[in-house]
Amino acid sequence: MTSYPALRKFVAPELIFGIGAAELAGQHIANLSARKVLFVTDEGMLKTPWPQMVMDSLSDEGVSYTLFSNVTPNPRDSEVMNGAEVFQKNRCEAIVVVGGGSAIDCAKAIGIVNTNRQNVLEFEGVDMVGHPGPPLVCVPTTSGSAADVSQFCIINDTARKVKIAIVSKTMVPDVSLIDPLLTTTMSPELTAHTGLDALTHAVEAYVSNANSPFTDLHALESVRQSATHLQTAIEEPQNLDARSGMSLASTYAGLAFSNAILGAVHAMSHSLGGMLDLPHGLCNAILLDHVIEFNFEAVPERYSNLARALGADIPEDMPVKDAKAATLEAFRDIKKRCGVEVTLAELGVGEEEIAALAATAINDPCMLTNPRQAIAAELEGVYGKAR
Amino acid sequence: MARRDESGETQRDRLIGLGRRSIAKSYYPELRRRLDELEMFRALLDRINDAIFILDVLTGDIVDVSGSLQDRYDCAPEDLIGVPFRELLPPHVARYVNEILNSESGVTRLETELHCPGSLKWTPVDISIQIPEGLDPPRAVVVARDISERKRAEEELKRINMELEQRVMERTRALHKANQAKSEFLSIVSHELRTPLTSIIGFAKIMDRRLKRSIIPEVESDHTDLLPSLEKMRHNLNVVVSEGDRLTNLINDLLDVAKLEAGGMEYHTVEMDVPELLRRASDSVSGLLESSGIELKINAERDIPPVIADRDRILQVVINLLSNAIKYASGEPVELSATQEKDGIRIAVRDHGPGVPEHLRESIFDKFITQAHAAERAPMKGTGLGLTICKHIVEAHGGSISINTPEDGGSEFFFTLPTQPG
Ligand SMILES: [Fe+2]
Repeated sequence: MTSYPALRKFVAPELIFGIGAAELAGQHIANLSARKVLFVTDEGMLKTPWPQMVMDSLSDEGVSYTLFSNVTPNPRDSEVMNGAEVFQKNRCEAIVVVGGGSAIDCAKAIGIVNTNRQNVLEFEGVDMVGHPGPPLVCVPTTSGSAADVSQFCIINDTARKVKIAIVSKTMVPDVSLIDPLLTTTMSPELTAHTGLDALTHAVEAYVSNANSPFTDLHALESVRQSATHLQTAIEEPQNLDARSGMSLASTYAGLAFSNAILGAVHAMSHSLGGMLDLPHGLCNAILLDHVIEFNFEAVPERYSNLARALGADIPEDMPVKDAKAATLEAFRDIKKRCGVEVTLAELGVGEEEIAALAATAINDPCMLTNPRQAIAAELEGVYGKAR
Repeated sequence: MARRDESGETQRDRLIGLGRRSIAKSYYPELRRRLDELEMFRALLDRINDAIFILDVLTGDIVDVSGSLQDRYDCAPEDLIGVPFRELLPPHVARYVNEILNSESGVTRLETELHCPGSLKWTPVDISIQIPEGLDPPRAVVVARDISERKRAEEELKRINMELEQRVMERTRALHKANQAKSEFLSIVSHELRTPLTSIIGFAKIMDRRLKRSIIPEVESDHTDLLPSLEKMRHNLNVVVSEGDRLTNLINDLLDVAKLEAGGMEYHTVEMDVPELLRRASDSVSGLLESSGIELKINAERDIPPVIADRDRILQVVINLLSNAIKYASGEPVELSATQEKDGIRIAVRDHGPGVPEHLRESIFDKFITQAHAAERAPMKGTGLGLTICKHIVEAHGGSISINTPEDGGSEFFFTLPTQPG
């Protein structure tokens, strides 16, 4: 092992963090010289006051908009193509998205389909985007996916029943307006799922074989914020202190994983989500400790650091076996505190599906940065334990 | 796991942002491409002969200018931004600019002049004004094409035409004057010559008669020795008369030519029987035939239709050709014929004399040529104007006159007359 950092890159969007950030959307769009925008959100979000709040800020700046809310959780390729058509028909010049990870991913994909005039599925893979999309201003309403800061975009290929990953630095939005106030409308369940997704991001980025001093800083701080605020955010939805903490946790984790990438949890979770349309954060949470169990020996020190960030007492000289047990204990504890005790079997994953799930997961790009190289059979084992 | 593609990158390199194409979102490459495109168009526009103005339809102000301006209109494009387009036009056109901008019709074209405000230089232009649909805010595209070159060429052509016309008129006037002067001169000269000639011929004839009737009979009986001198005097007087007659003919011919050339000859056309024409001509030269002992053969085709002509003038032509032929006949017969041809009646006079030398054939119908070269033919007693007069007369009838040189010697002068009046 060398002691100096390896060659790394760190990309982050322009960020505005804090209460009131969402109302700056109009100003930012105006600064980008856009006069008409596509306003992407989803039907559920329209029942909250946030879309209207952002629309008003656009109107205040003389920016007109076309609403596109035909987005479902795990956005589908057809929804992206429809959105691109609406964008084009209405001669939009930029995109504003108010929503969770699904809406933001959909908005990102609509953008590149428009500038490149290609089907969204053709961008699958890394660096497959020729031209960046139009200016994109993100207003996240969840604290988990961090799609508003990441270079990832996950789209549901409905024909093949798989989730495709579009990975490109051009997918990093232009501006992210992170307003914790907007996360107060999340249900406790959604808060838990997205919070555990954020935690998984931080964990996987920290143990990634592409980690860097920059991503480590963000990853560890993200874990600390989650440890402090996640349970409170679930229990007291209106607690802005906890909401702000989780927004920070999510954003830190986003900056970490967007640059250091992820690992086996996400590879296996993407496979589950594609095949069974299950909530992403929940899948991650179920798999997290099982993957740690599988990976631990590859980077015991790093996993121990994560457990310490969660509050575990793991002395430097603790034997690896004990450190592993303490680490698993710390993660199982936070899962339990967030109310996630369900198994894959309880979610309807049959034993006969495991082989197919593992076969898909092993080819997921996230496996490239997993600290332990794996084969499909090994992933089958992990799926089996999570069942 | 570390599968490398052709560029030597692994998927992982790209994933963590270390791939060749891994750059953060930047509009610059695309912007640069579009800018290059725009600049290329602008450069193209700046190199064409047209100036292109983009107008705000609502205000009529210029919002953009490209194309050639500096050289043609004496101003820089940036000086025109924000200037109302009508200020570039002459007042009588400027009045209609707003009307055109508000009209529905697709393209308006007009020819006018253009100048930059403050400049005294007006450039003639063809202007087309188009208002493309669906632009927001609405814009009009005005293309002004410099047509000074075309204008200059048109002016030059007009000037040359006028100059030419002027010159033709002057020349015609001068010619007319010269002709008139010549005709006047000729008629005066003829008159002034003819009057004394008449006296000379008249008195010579009287003297001859006196000699013959009174003096010689008297002398015959008493002074026989004087008779030879008197006879000599009579002979000389006859020479005076015949030469006087020749001079009179010459003067008459000169008068005819003068009249023909001045366009003063009048033709009285009638329907004329061709065989009769030949007969009358042969009657007229019977004296000449008799004195020279030449035989004349007349040959007219049957059923020759009549021609419309001035009887006396055509007769004059035939007689002239016959007299010439008899003069140069060298004792051989002369043939006069009339045949019907495709384009009219052909009347020919053929002799078997020495023929016309080759270098004279072209110009034989020209004035005085025959005279000038008289020495090259046999001694001749014509005025030299006969053939010129013939040509005038025949051509005035819509016919043509020419000369043939048959292989067996001699010459054939012939002319044609259309059967229908031209
Ligand atoms: Fe995730």
